Amino acid sequence: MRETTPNKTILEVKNLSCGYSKTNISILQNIDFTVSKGEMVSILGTNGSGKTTLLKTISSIISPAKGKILLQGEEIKNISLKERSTKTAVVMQFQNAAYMTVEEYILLGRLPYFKKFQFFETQKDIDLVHKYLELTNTMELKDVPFNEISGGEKQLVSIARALVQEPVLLLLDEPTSHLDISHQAQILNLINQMKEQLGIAVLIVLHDINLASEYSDTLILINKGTRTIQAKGKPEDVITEKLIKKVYNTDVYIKENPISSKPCVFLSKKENIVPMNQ
Amino acid sequence: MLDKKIRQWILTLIILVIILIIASLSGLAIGSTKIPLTDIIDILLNGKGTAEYSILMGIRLPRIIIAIAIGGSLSLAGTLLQGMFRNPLVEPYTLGISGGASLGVCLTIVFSLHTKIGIMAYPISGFAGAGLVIFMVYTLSIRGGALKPNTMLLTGVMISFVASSLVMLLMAISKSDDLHNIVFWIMGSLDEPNITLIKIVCYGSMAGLVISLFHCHNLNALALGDEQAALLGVDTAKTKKILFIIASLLTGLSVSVAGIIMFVGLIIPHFMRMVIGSDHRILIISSFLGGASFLIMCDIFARTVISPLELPVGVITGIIGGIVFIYILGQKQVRL
Repeated sequence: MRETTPNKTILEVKNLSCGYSKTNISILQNIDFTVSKGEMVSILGTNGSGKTTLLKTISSIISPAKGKILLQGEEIKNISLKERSTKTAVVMQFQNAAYMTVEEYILLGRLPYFKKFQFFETQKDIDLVHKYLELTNTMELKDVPFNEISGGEKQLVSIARALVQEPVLLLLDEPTSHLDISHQAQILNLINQMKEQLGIAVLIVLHDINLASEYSDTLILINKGTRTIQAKGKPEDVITEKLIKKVYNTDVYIKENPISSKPCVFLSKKENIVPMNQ
Repeated sequence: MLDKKIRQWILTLIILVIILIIASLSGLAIGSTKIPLTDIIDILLNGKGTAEYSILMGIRLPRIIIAIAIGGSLSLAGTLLQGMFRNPLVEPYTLGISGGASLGVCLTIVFSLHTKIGIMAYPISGFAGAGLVIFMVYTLSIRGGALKPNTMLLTGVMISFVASSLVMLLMAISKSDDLHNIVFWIMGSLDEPNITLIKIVCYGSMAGLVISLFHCHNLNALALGDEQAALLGVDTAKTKKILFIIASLLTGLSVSVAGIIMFVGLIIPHFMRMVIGSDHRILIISSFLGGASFLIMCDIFARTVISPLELPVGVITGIIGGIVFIYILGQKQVRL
């Protein structure tokens, strides 16, 4: 197990309230958690519980209503836009890139490192782009227009773009939704490899409880009803029948994965169906 | 990869410059008085005082310079707007920016502002009209924080209609002298006798080109959407503000000198994107050069097709542009 001493803390969220300013209602309140170097933290919760809003707030797309977000000990709103984008990389759910090729798209991840009046990319930029094209198995797509590749490939390429930013913190919003299990495994294994090898801190919103359980070091379970964190900790502490019932209002059975010994959630068809006509 | 790319870009630029030179020489040679290409340099150097010299220096050369500046400006404005709005169908004319500029210039003619503040009244009023329309289209097309492309295009077309109705209103109530001026100018012609205006439009287009080049990386990032561009360290609000100002400056200047010339900003960037790709580092300058050559050729055609009469050059660009617009609309990447 990787040690998570305070000096390795990358992201610290303190007493955060967030939401869209127009509605003036905080979707989430009193959020506290940290993400350390080489740690993968997953955010779980029902649809509309504010997982994406939380991620957008941490990536500074939305300003927080209350509380603090610290990146490597410095308050994130005090870090310049350019510097921030060399430290955090974000992969949002829907990617669009007009007409550019996959290679041009990934190269944009190096933009934060361009100096003033720098017109061309350096050899280092190109090498990094090629390294992540190879790591994501997308080398053969490099000259294909971004809008012509499949959903799974778009996710892979977007992660490659985020990784060429050489971030210390990687934020991902449901990178595996709508993908088949081979792409799910490929993407999560890649993220896992990056966190192990490069020590990137990863904060990820996941829909699939079992994937989160399998890959994460820490889970954060958000309760839509109370608008705050219901539980956080290791997968075996968070994924319990009682907590899942409380947050998702669904009966589940939890068994241990025989190989990884991580908790695994099972749904089962209802036995006692009430006849419709009565 | 970088070397290959630079080589490809340089080759593209060389080809575009050669096309521009050929177009310019043809523009000098072709006309109601034909001047052989081989004689042109001789006449320019030694022929002072001859009729050919005054045709070349007094009529054809200024016209080519204006065509380069305006063709380049309109094409560049189209490239910038398409980059910012992520939509291949927007350009100064379809967004109503040309219409706004023309209304500004008409107001200047009707209220004789040029007699009070000089010849600068035309470009200034054109710029003001263009800027006002960009601002209106932008604010009216934002629904719930997001820019709706179909709303934007329709708003632009409607603003165009309103502007041209107002121009007609001005024509209806204006004195016959002004009416003649407006009609003459609205027809859209590259014939501009005023040397100050020629200079202004040249300097303006050059300034627009240089400033746009400084923002080429930001334009590339904006292709991913405003949020993603900001996450890559781009100050999107500031970038858009600057580019809005440049696009209205380029359009306002062009309209104040040559009237409304439609669709140059649609045809050329689209064609260039097909040839060289969507990287704004090369797209900006190649659109400028391409637009310049295109307008010179359209002008040659307009001058000669029903010679000795002249067609307004906007007729030619309008016909080609309308067809290209419908063609782009049928492309699968274009979603409204």
